[in-house]
Amino acid sequence: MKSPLLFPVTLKDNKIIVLDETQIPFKEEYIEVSSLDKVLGLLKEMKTRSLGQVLLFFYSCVLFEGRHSIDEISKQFKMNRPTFDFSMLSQILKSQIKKDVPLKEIVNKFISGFDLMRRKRARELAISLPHNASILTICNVNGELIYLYEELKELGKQALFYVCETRPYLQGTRLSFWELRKNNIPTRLVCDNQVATLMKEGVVNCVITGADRATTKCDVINKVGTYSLARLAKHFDIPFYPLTQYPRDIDVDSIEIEERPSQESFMYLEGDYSGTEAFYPAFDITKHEFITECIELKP
Amino acid sequence: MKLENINNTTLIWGMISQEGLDHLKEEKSLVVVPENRPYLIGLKHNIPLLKKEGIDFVYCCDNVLGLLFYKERIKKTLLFYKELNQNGITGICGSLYVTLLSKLHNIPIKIAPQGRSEIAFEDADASSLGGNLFLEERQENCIIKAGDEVIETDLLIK
Repeated sequence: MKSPLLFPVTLKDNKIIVLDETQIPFKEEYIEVSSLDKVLGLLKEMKTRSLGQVLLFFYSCVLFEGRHSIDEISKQFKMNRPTFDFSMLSQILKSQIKKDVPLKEIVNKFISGFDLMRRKRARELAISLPHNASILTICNVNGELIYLYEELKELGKQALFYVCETRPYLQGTRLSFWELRKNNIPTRLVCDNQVATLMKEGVVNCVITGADRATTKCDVINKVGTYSLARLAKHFDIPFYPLTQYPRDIDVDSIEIEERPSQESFMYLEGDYSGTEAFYPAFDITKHEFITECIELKP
Repeated sequence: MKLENINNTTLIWGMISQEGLDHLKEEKSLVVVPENRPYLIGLKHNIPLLKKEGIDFVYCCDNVLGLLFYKERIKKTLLFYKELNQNGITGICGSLYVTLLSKLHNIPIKIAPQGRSEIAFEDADASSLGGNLFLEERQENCIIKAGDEVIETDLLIK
């Protein structure tokens, strides 16, 4: 089983190769970049996100080493995607630096270790899930649902995924639904507002999401729409599991929620909406009281 | 529009009626208009009417409502129904989502009969958006059909 979303950004011949996630499912197109300005442009235009932006950051540090410091790159990234914790990535990378070991080697080792941890996390979650797991999810967690499915099968469990379309960028439809179906994994697609009915009718028995930020109290920030899933899941007594990494001891409400340009609310719709005021926050906040357990990335 | 400018709003769900417009004109608060997937009623039916009446509004995708409730920016929900009977109401897809989120945040819900529209709503489920297919191919058996939702009376009472 595979998905290009498992590693959407790679480094080859002094170029960063970025999967253009906005083109999926119609085209699997890659963009080559070799300047920091172009990297930042891709980040701002959401050509990549989630794990992709982590990889983009690490490979930028390798490629632009000598011209820009790690902290400088982290600041530039944060200016374009303010909710994500690039300073934490900067700290992780700096803590791994050793004399006489090339940065590229350090980054490659870290990334392969990261993937092993994702597999381990999928295993841990699979153990917690029921034998007939009917899993509601939102947005996209870069192939980790495929890992989860493999682990569930290994344990002799059945799984069916329900994917929220995730307006306005449709990451649920274009990325999660696509990668699961491509791997012949049983999957259903729903509108974001259909989730209450699915829960009420007992169609889903657990909710799994990603987490762009997490605190040590298990408060999370994730794709907008996550909070509603958690509140409704709690109401219907359905377990809610976000996949978290590198939690920080901070107040979740102090983290800036990125507000994207108003016109992105109309993504993929034909017509001129320039005269219509809209609001599009990229993320929302879910407090720990609505979370069953944060499934952490562990060494 | 930025979050800092969104305060004391009335959230609407479903197809707005003349009665609803009159109510909103009188109330003079900012109106939150969600997309109303899959049909895009918010975009195709509600926005043109609000614009015509000169009522201030802000548009958003349906999944943004959670953050607005969390940040306490919604003071009332106005839910348009298709049918009313002694057990409750029947509303369009997402009516339960909005009702429960309002209830869980202690926001009062006012109900009103829905309006009429001559518009052809071309999307029937999550497989298409504005008539365009966002899947590699149509996979009818993998799409959950959007349907009307029944809301029991006890959920509508604060």
